[in-house]
Amino acid sequence: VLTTRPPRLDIAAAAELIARREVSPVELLRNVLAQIERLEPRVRAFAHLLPDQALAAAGTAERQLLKDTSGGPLLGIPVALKDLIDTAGVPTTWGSAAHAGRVPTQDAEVWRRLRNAGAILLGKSMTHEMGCGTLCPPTSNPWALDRGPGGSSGGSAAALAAGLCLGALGTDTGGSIRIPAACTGTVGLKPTFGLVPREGVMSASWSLDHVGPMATSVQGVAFLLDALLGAGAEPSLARTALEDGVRGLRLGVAGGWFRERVQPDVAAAVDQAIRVLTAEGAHLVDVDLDSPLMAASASIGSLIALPELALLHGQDLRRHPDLLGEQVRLNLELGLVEPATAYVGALRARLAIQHTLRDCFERHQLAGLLTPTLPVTAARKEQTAIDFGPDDAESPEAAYVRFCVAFNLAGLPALSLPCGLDRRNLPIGLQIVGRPFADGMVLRIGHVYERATAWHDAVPPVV
Amino acid sequence: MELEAYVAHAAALAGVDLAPERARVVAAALEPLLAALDGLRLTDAEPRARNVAEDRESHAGKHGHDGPRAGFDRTWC
Repeated sequence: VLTTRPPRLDIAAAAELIARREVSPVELLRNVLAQIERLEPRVRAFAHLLPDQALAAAGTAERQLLKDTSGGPLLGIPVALKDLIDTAGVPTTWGSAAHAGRVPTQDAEVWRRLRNAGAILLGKSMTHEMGCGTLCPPTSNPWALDRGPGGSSGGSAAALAAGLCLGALGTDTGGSIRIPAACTGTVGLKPTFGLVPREGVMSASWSLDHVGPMATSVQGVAFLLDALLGAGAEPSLARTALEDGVRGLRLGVAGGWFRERVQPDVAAAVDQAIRVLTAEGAHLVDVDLDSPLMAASASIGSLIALPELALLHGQDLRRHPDLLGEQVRLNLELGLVEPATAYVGALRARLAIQHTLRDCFERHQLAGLLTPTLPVTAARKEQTAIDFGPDDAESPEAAYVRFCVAFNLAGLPALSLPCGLDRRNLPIGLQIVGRPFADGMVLRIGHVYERATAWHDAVPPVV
Repeated sequence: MELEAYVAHAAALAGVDLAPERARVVAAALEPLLAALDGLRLTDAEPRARNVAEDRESHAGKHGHDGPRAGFDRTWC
């Protein structure tokens, strides 16, 4: 059956096929494993693969399906978990030589919830070491193998883009779900701060960390979020709330700093997305946010995250600095020496950002706020600077986080979904930000955009 | 004290010895972060900080706790 299907199956479509017993969990998994065998040597999305364990779980799901039609909503769906997320008995090494051989004895709460919904663990996906970066070596971007997938949840995003799994989880401290989603043409949600439990997930910064779902469609993300919210999630996002449309909703278009130093193809794709949402009945409103404050958001995020990282993981620097990569080592050193006044000052600046965004949503009565996820598309792996004009260059890492960090600081739900391809055939991401705990509204807006366009169906050439 | 010397001293107090060239690298990375914060002139944020205190009080009154994050009121959903 699957040979007649697209090479990359979405969670919603796969769940329906399984529920109708047109495809068995084992058949679906074998199809994905064949894709892994073909592409994983080039993409390198996985830190640890679990084909035997996954096949056993798929067999169990299949037997459950034959006995009883009331399987969980993710029954038989193969997923990848970022290698910061604990899985009992399975190596979870945080992408770090300093933690090689680490095998947790308990599952993270998010994995327990996905498993209870019927998901099958396919493997642990690559992460930038300890989540401390936006590049995720050695994973390649399926859209162009000489480019990175973005990070730090780059393995999850690359696996989704290449059809090596159907769903995934990532973590996002300064954009680490949305950046790779944008770079790989996949969909990723940083939920509202505190909405999804972080128990059993490596913490880089307790006040900025988020765990969130990633998939190849907004509906797929909604399926995963439903499961992550557990039994209390009513009504189901995936089955009801997405269908309400955007007619009459007021959506802000972030101007000023959010439209400066943006690659022309990215700006054009975001403008086109705004026209699509207008045609769907939304009322688009130009809004201006406090540009100097937003421009400082990445630094403010660093000044908060670095000491928190150092408090949690400073022992790594004292015990085995030689086992740490340069970025993690520098982050820990910075966190250890940062003056207390800088940390407290950054906490205060975060309040100003929270209030600037809240005032914007309230003053304009917004249901959502639109920005480019990134000002650029995926950089080449060895690239150290992106040119925006004469004497105006920025590192890929700095460019990637520019439009993301403010929403970690504010804790707002933020979704990245594909909205185009640039002239080099690289994906472009649209970011939709919502009010606190209005994650369903963010998905609803994204779903409307997705229904009206076909960008989420675009498949990388390597697939 | 210059930033580089401060970095070496603070690291030593935290139990980490930084060679001079390493202290230079760390200081070079720290300097623009501190400059970005200085540039915000945070006294300007004082009224907003007061608003947050009011929100927190209001939230605590309604729910008996500070909520998921100070200034992050569920009633704003």
